[in-house]
Amino acid sequence: MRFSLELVPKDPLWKLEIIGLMAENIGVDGLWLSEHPDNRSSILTACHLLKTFPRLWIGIGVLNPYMFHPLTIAQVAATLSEIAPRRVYIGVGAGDRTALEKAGIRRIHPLKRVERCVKIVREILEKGFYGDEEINMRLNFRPRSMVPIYIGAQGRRMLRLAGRIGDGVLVNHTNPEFLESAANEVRIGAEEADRRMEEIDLAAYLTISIGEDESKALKAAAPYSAHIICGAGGEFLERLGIDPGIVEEIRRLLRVGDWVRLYQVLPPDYIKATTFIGGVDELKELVARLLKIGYTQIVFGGPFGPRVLDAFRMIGEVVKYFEEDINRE
Amino acid sequence: MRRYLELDEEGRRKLVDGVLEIVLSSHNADLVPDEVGWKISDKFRSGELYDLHGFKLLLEAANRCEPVKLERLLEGIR
Repeated sequence: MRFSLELVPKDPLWKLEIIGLMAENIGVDGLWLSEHPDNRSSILTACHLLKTFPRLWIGIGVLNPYMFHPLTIAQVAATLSEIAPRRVYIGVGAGDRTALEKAGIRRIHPLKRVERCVKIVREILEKGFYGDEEINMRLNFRPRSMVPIYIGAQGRRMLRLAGRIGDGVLVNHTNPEFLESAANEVRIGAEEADRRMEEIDLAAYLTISIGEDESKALKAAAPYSAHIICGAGGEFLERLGIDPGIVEEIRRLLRVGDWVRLYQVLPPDYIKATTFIGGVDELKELVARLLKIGYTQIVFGGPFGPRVLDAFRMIGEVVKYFEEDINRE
Repeated sequence: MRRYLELDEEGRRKLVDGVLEIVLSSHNADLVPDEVGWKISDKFRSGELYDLHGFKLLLEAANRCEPVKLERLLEGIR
């Protein structure tokens, strides 16, 4: 079991550096940097953090093949491996539909695009070149180590694809029932490709708000929950029992940034259905359950909690508990 | 603000975590001058955030990104 933390490069690099130091202090193994076109570049942030932290691995999660050509992704992975061999992971995913539309890009055939992208990136990293009837590409230098490719997945078909071709899977859910069915889909994909689950690092990419005061934890998580709900499809909302009628209002409040009203409109049950709300014991319980389901990596993602320092101390307790548990075994 | 700089180390220690919390949870961190931010990070790394210079930098950062929250924190301590 590995533990990592999500960093969002919307904050200045010096602040990410401080949070990285805190992450190192609480004993997590690595950091996943999320990529959003309107934030700082996750790739350049990774360069800086890999040089800053000699122990932590850094994953970029995720680059989409619409904005990043597979050759660019391979070039990034190979270059980063020169800075930090064996400490670089690359995430590939379909990308956020709304963010892509804002950039004038239509997200068509996401499954095919992701599959082809992974194939090209992997071949370039392994053999130094890729060629087919359409493209012919080569890197003039070799990666200094293997760079595992993770697939960011939520939907059933993408999860199966991830099981078929990913070195790892970033399952972007927090709800344990969803995480369980996601793990099953990955398993089906792995079986289809005659792979064993042990070959795949199954990572639960959680949205957590840990704190002793539930109402404060809910408040901190509300905008995150709202983003999850607004980005979700009809099937997801139905499974969570979320009234589709409320989604338009949540979307409007997010657009204008009215957090006070958002918190009034968003029922606590919806926040709890989409994010983790609780204390140390509840988080231990969730992690134990995910371990049992077959997850091999836990990614703690923001907001972390209503108070950042307390949240890190509490996450540290959870990490330590499981590390001691593993050592006991 | 000046009188908080006159606090002894123990007094500063009581405040540092609160001020750091304000800076880390702020959504306005871009308002903090980068050179101040980098110095805070260096101080954090070397464990010198509690010395007078580190404390001064933190106060400056919090005052830039969350002046109201900082004032509320300092008033609570008074």
